[in-house]
Amino acid sequence: MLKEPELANVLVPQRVLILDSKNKRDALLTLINCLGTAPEVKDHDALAQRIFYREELMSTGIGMGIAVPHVRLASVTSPVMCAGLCRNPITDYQSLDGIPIHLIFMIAAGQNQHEEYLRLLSSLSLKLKCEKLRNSLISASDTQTFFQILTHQEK
Amino acid sequence: MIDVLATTPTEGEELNIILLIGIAIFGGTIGARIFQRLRIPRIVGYVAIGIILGPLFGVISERTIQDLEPFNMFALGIIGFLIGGELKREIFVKFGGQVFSILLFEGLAACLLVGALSFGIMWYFADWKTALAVAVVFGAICAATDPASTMSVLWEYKTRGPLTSMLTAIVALDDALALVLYTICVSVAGVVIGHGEAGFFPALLRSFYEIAGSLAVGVAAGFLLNWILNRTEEPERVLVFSISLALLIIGVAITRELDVIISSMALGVTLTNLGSKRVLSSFALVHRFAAPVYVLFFVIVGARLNISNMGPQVGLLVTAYVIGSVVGKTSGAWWGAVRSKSVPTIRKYLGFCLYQQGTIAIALLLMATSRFNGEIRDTMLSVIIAGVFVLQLAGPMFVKIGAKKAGEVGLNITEEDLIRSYKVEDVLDDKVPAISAGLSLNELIKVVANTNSYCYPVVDNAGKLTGVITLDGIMNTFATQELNDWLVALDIAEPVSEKAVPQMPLSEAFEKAKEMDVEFLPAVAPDDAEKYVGILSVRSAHRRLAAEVLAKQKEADRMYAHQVT
Repeated sequence: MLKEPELANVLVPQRVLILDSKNKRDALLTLINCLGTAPEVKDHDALAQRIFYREELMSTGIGMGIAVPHVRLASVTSPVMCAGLCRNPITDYQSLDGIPIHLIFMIAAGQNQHEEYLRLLSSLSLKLKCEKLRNSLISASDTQTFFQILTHQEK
Repeated sequence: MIDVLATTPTEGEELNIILLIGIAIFGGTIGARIFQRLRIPRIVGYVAIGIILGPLFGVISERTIQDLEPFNMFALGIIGFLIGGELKREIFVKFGGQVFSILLFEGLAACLLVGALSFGIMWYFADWKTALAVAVVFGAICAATDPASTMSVLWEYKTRGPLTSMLTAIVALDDALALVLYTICVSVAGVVIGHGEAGFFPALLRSFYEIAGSLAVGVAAGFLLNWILNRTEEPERVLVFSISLALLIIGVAITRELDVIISSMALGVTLTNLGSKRVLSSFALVHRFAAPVYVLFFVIVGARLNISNMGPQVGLLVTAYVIGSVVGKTSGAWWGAVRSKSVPTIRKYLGFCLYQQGTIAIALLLMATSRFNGEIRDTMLSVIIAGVFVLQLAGPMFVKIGAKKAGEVGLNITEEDLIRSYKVEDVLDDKVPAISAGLSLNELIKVVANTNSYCYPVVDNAGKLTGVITLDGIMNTFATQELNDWLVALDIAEPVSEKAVPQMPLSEAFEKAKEMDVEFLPAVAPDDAEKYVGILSVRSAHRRLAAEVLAKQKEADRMYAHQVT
């Protein structure tokens, strides 16, 4: 059995952004640019192309104001994440429950890191089911606080 | 049986021989391919190339043939060993009485008929003594059926069934019968003509020594090889021990003036009836090793067939020899089969499969001619060589026809044979539905539940293949079911590392899958590398091939079941 992935291993405070984007496209582009700078991501363009292709297939707005755009790419060496706190909820995200998006977690993993990738998605989605945590994250004053709230219970 | 000519070629000639061996094997293989395209057994191609390289263009000279005599002995030994390997105890238990009945009837019928016809013709041209000498020699030699070419055809067409078993047993024992008949007949002829060296009974004793001695040496070596192979793991060493023991047997047989084929056959029979599965793998290894040996052997057989310098009586005698052999063997085999209540396929078709004559006949001829001089000797040489030429060329085709009519062709296939001959399209599963990249995991699970595949192709909106989903990949999602609502097929798809096309040889596709360590290969259209056409599942393909092999074996076993014992 693989160990439950720790979010602190895939996210660093520098990749937590406060977003002012007004629409889904801008928000995703900002996060792609951020995640694209991670040393684990070797091909920024491939990341962008795949993120938008995945959104075409089905929205990654999973409900409860949360979006988890995620991809697996050959040019990613290990699972990596960036997070965006939307000060202006994004209404055109077409989430599953129609609720505007407040929190975006963009995840990228290697093409053959199937299990780690699923566990990371699962771990994040289970964590975010907690309404209290969601609200704490949405009301975080800065990125450092956001990071600490998200990774707090793990430490 | 044959003197091995101990020629010591000079350095230049040695090189020349190696070049000639290369030309013979290469040319023989090309010839075989051409003949195979014409649906004629390969061996005819080897022999034909031998005739072209030998009598026609003189590339292979008499001297070369003599120099290659030790090699011929080696080839005969290997052939004997492999024939012996086919003779399992069960064949004799099942066919025992029938084998001897058919063997005696076909051998004696051909011997008497050819003898009578030859005697009649020669009496017209010469005195009765000469006629009798020629008649008994021809009668004895025609009884020999060439096991090498017979088995070559049976192996080529992967035959299995009662006719194949009976034919194997008959050709294996024919050599011994021909040797006994030859010894008796030639001794009689020698005494009558006045060239007999030792007389009738010493010659008979000599024949008994040859057969019994060959059997004793072969059986002893069989026990030894079985003991060694039971302690040998690596296939390479199994091959080396098998070949070296066969070489030892051949060498001992030549030194002690025993029969090379009988002794090496005894080695094969002993091993096949004693051996464990590992020991039996020796036959498959030697069989594979023997391919170029066969080619060269039969090319030399062809090169030896010199049909020039034929007089009028020679033409008549050749006709008598060929017709007598064919009619005698066909009627004798039929009579023997009827008397021993063999199955209809043996009754009807066994006779057709016994015409070919080759090295044994030539070897007996060489022994016979050493006892006679002058015109008789030349007549014997011309007639037998021409007769063997006709029968050796026509015989294998009749074996093929007989086996085909008996319904035994292709029943002895292995999975490897099928893999070699099949293309991807023969085992491709084109019913596996393509999964749209955006299909949700919940929907995907429904599709999987309603279909029966271990692997599904994932295609984009334009229908282009973008990945594959395996059952293992789907099982990984069972632990994360909370994701099922928002994961899509693309999220769990694996990239396509290798693809197959329907026209690709199956062996090549299997090789690719093995290299990539994958169980499945998606197949795409030959003109569009991204258009999905089906899934090649290595496991399912093997299952299907195994079922096909089993069905063929069952078909052959059903034929055995109808065997009257």
